[in-house]
Amino acid sequence: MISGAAASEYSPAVLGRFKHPSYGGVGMDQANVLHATAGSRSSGASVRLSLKIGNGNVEQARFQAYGCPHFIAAADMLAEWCEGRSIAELSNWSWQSVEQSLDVPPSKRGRLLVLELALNNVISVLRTTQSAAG
Amino acid sequence: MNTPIYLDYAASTPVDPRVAQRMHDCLTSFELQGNPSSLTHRFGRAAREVIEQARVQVANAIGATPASIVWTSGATESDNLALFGAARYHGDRGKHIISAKTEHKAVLEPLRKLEKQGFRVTYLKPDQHGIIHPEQLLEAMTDDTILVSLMHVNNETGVIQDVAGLGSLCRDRNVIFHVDAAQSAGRLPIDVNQMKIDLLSCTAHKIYGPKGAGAWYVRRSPILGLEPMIIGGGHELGLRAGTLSTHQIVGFGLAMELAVSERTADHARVTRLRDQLWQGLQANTDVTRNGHSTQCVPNILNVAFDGVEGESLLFSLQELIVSAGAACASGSDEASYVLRALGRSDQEAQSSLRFSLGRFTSEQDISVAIAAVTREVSRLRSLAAGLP
Repeated sequence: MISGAAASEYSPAVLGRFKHPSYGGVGMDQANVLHATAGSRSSGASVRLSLKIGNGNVEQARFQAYGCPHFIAAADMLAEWCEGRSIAELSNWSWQSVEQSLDVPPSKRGRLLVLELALNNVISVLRTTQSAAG
Repeated sequence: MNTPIYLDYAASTPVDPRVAQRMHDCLTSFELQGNPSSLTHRFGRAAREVIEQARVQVANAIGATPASIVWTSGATESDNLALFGAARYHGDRGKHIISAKTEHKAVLEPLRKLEKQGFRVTYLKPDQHGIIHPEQLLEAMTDDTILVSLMHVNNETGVIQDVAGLGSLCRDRNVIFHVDAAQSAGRLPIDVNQMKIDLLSCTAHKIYGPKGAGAWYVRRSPILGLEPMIIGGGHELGLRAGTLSTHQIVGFGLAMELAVSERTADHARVTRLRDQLWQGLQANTDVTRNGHSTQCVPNILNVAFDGVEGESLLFSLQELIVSAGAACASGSDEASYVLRALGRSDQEAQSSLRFSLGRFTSEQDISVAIAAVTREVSRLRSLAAGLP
């Protein structure tokens, strides 16, 4: 048994984003929104990334997540990073920078890779959608 | 930040102020500072006298004679002494040991070591409610079974095993029966003779006594052969050498006496609070109870919150101190092996929290706990809605 999670196990950045994620949920107009998921509840981390695209840019980004506080905070940080980026820029996201910013322990690196997979999946959806349109 | 509400009594209980006062008195009495083994002078005899009073208090709580109580540092040490001591002494008449998948690590890890030393161990799997049935034990016994080790009350689920029924099967077959009673001694009636228990482990810090004090019951009639594991002075009838910690033992003795004398009132009050908590959680969130609904101690409530990740829930509940079946912050994503043995999936086990109540838990504490859990479960479920 693990007794009460101590706040000191998480950095202040994780605390803030976990308790009050700014980009959590699905609260946006669903027109031109692309979704992609990665991970699974059974593996302890699951995420859906939703990007609203307009004029070749990400106008809004939202996430839904099942996972530990580090994972939820990292998903919030990823969604924040996506907003305002061009589609071309999305592939520049680096899980290493999130790992550093949130002080994520190495044992949880796999969860950051789940986020990277979700982002890659949504980029694939974007490209497919663009090909079909063009 | 306000002091969080403590709902982790199964992990450890706060020291009862009456116990703390007795320990303080003991520590500040110059006449009690002698070595309890130095019986040639007055100070040693005075320390020995209070230790023997405590031995009577602990022995009375389990229906034992004082001479059958060996002082240890806690239930973990008692478990180790019992398992290694019995297996090594009796190993020439058999190499088979029976235990359960849901035992505490203080039993499982010594058993793993004994396996490496040539013993075979059968780990019984409980039913979905956590119960080990006597017929399972009977079926597992072989001609060379020498030892059975089963806990009285499970520390995660609170499930109570039929120790008397299991003990009878062992005694009939001349198999040594060890019981880890860390969660039950003082809380439940125990009679080592009626229950046919040969070895029993218990500890002070689960019953409002100090940490670092434990006891080990060793059957004396007829004498049970054991190989001593800690030697160097012949203390405690040669079974556990080392100078005794007078104030710890005195505190343990009083804590045990209080646990027994206040058992009925504590049981009724904690049952009422546990029911209040369970009803409040059921009314507000989709929950499943882990363990048995009636064959359990009242102070432990283990609940699965479907669709909520355990570490996040645990961390969200900063106003509560509770325990989870797993937490990846510890560097291990392993789900509770106890809940897995009951047939829960990894995900269900990881979504479970143990609430354990005690002597100082109030109705207000429970109301705050219900509100906090309801709020955070709702928030986390909303954040994860619809995910695979």
